[in-house]
Amino acid sequence: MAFSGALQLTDLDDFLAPSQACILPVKQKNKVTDQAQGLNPDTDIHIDAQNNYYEVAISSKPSTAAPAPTLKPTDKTVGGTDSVGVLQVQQQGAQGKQLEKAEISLNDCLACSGCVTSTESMLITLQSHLEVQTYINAEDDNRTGILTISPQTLASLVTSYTETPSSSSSSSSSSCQGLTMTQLLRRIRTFFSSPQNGGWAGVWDTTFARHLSLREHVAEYKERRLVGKGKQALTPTSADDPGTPLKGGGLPMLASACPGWVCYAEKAHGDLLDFVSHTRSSQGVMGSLVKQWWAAERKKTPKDVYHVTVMPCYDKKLEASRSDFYSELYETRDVDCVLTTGELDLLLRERGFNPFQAVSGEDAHEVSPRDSPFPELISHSGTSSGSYLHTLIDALAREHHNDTRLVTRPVRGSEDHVEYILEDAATGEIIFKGAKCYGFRNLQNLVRKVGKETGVKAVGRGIGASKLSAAVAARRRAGKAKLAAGQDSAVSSSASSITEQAEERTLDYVEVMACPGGCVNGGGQMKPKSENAATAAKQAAGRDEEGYSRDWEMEGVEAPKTQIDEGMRWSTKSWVAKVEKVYWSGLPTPPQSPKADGQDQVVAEEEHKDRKISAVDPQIEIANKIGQQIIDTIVESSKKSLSTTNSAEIAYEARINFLRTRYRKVEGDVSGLTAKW
Amino acid sequence: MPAIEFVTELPGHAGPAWAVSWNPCRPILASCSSDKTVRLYGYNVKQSTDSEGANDRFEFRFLQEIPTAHKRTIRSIAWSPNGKSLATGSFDSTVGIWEEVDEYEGVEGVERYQDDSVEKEWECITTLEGHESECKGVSWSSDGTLLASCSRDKSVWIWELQADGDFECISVMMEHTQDVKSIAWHPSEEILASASYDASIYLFADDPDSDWSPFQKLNPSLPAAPASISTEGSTSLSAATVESTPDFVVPPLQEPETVWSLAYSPCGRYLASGGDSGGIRIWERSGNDIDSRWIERTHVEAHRARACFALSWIAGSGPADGADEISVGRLVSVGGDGRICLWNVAKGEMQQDQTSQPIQMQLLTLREQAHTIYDINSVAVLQRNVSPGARLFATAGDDGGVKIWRISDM
Ligand code: SF4
Ligand code: SF4
Repeated sequence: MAFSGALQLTDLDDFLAPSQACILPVKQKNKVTDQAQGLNPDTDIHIDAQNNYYEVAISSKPSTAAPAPTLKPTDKTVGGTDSVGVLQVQQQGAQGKQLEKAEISLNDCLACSGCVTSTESMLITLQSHLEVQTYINAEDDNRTGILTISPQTLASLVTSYTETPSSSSSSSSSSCQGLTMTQLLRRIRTFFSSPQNGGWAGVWDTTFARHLSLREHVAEYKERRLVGKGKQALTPTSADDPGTPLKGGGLPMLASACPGWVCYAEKAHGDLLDFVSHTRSSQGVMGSLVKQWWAAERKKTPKDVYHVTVMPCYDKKLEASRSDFYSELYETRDVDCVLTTGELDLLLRERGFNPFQAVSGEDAHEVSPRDSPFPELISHSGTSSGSYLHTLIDALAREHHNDTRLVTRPVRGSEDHVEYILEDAATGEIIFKGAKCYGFRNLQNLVRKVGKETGVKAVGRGIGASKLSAAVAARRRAGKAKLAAGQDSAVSSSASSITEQAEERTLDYVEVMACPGGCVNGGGQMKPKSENAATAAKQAAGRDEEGYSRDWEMEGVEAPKTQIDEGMRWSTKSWVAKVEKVYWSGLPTPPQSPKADGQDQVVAEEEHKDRKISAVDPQIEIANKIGQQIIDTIVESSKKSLSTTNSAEIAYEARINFLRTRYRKVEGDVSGLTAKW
Repeated sequence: MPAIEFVTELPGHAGPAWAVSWNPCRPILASCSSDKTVRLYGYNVKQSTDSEGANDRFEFRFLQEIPTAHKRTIRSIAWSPNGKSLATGSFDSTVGIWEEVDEYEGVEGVERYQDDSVEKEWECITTLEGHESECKGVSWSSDGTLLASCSRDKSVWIWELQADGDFECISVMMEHTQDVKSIAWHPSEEILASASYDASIYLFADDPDSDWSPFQKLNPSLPAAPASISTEGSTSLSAATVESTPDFVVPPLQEPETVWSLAYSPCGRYLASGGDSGGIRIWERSGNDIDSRWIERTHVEAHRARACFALSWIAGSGPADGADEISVGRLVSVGGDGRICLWNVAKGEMQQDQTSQPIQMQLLTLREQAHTIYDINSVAVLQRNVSPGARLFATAGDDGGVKIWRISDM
């Protein structure tokens, strides 16, 4: 159970759950009455090794009238560890009363970031499969259930269900035999629609939401392009330039689909936030679709709908609890609960789901409108993390007046950090430079690069920045020249000019993802089969006395070569490759992915000639049409509620509210603590 | 018998001095402090007439202060192996890289910078951001292409020096579960060790198939043995240790103790670690592969239940002629008890069962209250061979003072 690397690092305040600064009042249900009666005013709060809190009388003489407070676990606390704690206190002969732990449910939590950025356990426990079980089992919960599942989740589940431990090392050609993502989605839908499993009104995938998100993304990019490079956000209300049509920050635009990255940027790189796309992620758009559009269509209020999403990572739980996705008016969230892939699997298993039980109509080409108001499993060619970069490249290539050529270049030979340069096929002019940048380490270099290119983070910022002399700049230039010279000799002549020019060009767009390998490798995905077994065995044997599982393998002198690999934190590379393969299986167009073979200079080229004339995928065309209808509906309904007459503005605002979000810089409280060493 | 002689004191820091580092190529000593400055000192040797150099005199002078503009304490400093760059690790979470430049360097038409007589300024050429909280240590790899840093945020970062002089992050490792106190690179290979408040040491190496990753976690387990005092020890040494016996009781290891300090022996086969209860452990490498296992060989009491904050080695002479015994080297340790200890570390005669050679640590001499009542935070032995007869080392203490000491074998 872990967030992506970026968030693990920002999780500093390991002792606070919820935050000390939590603004919500903690209700003390089992009131300590002694104090009220003035019998035993001197008490102290003690904490035992299990983090239970006790109120203990300080005065050694027993209180006179009332019987000494007896020590008993409160009904709220369960589990073995608690009783151990009680036992210890009793042995010490201390008098104490165990205090109830503060319990805050997600509905109370304001996502004020008091703890959202600092404790992971909090939000994980608030949005668990148990909450969904409770919803399903509740007799009196009249909310309409909607479950939306990410395509990465489906790919992970299909891989996990079809892969047997023994075959995991053999060829992966058989890996998706017998089960496709579409079949699995429809089987899950049938399963959950039955009344004994909650009678969910809808079980959909999130690709249609992603489609809207991608379109909005392209629109936002074009807005930002007008603002220019490295420019900060222009507020339309600024005094000297009222009503400027330019909105938002400039370029480069950084993808916002990954909450691991967005939360990290808010916490650690507030000065780059202007460059983070304001478009909602597919989960965010799904929330809008379900709570704002679909609920209205069904004449329901958003609060009448219970919306659960299934996502590849825990980080998405943080995203769902952002205050922007909370509606004050309806006191509800766009997404009520986020499950990870693993938690959905748990839920399904607990309720006896059989993934191999075929259902009628599961192989139908189109989803029936009765089952889903949106097209199903729309494929966006590009990356398995959402194809944000490729969609943008396609759009830009299409609008360019000439044929284009796409050149890809892995940075430092990494498949997780690749630059994409779109050129005019005839003139070689660079139209666009983008990159995909996955994983925490690459993200660091991206942050440095974007900071430098935009000037928001000058090199040497903070310390000695003002003194950075011409000398240092000169050394840089000399070094660069040396580097370029070295490259020239290694690269074929045709590519070298491209390299040089591309080197100079600053980034226009980056698809940023916190997980190495992207969303198929999310922290909430299914674990590799073989590893599962090993982990289970290890855990059974390796619980230490505190109940924490320990990695015994790493401890001894004779430790086997268990590699804890930053590159692939949660699973092995081959497993992720299988999930990736399943993700793309059954696609009309194979994904474009550059083949990195370990050299910076490897340059892959791809003619974009056909793109201009190639007919748009019919599936995409339908999605566009439905998407437009939905946006129109939203605009119409907001026209009624607003009194402004400027309809263009209303249309824009309505779309923005529906499809975009905002970020705020989190001020660190680290400086408040002074470490001695 | 060797002795630790006081050479000089270099005052000046307005707050506790945290670390000292000798430039490996030039006669410069750097120190850093809570006062957010780095101070640089130059030194020269007045060679005496006798060839042994026993009477060589050392003169230190203050060169300059780098005000740095770090916002909080500078906790550690490290010179790159070529002596050109200085890395500073600060509690403001950043790492600064400093190089000497003169204001006319790079200005068209001015050739002046090549003239050594011109006064140059140390300037920050880049800042490495990324740590979420206090940076506790910085260290350069043996060839100077990699720079590692560690932090209270539990992470260890590796940066690679690029051809254009900038740095690129190549790894962020988050294996530790607590504050990472210090890091050390192997003297010749690309192996990085990190020590933490979580009571463990991790060893990291680059896996050619993927990325940097830990290949072993070291968990200290041996109980501490009392220090064995050199047999030919002077009476003062025995007196010092005997007299302090009441303090010298290190309770057997009950709780996992913070590992504060790390130092690889110059030969690269041994790793010394200093713990919170004042003991020193020696780990030995069991093979010659990059990921060969490291084994805990000994644990001795050294700093009277106060933390052993820093360690620094003097290379030994290697295998002795005709005997199994190997001279690993000498080790200087300092700690929270204000004591400087000088140890001889040797690999003893092959045991009867022919399977193991014990590691022997012998306390050669010690110096009490070296910074009066204050903790000693750092020690660094001068590795440049400036005088044949004497070894210099520097210490930095909570009193803000930097002191120079000399080991002389008399
Ligand atoms: S995020 Fe929620 S639980 Fe955490 S401090 Fe804020 S209101 Fe309290
Ligand atoms: S890359 Fe994908 S799976 Fe990983 S944290 Fe980001 S959104 Fe989640």
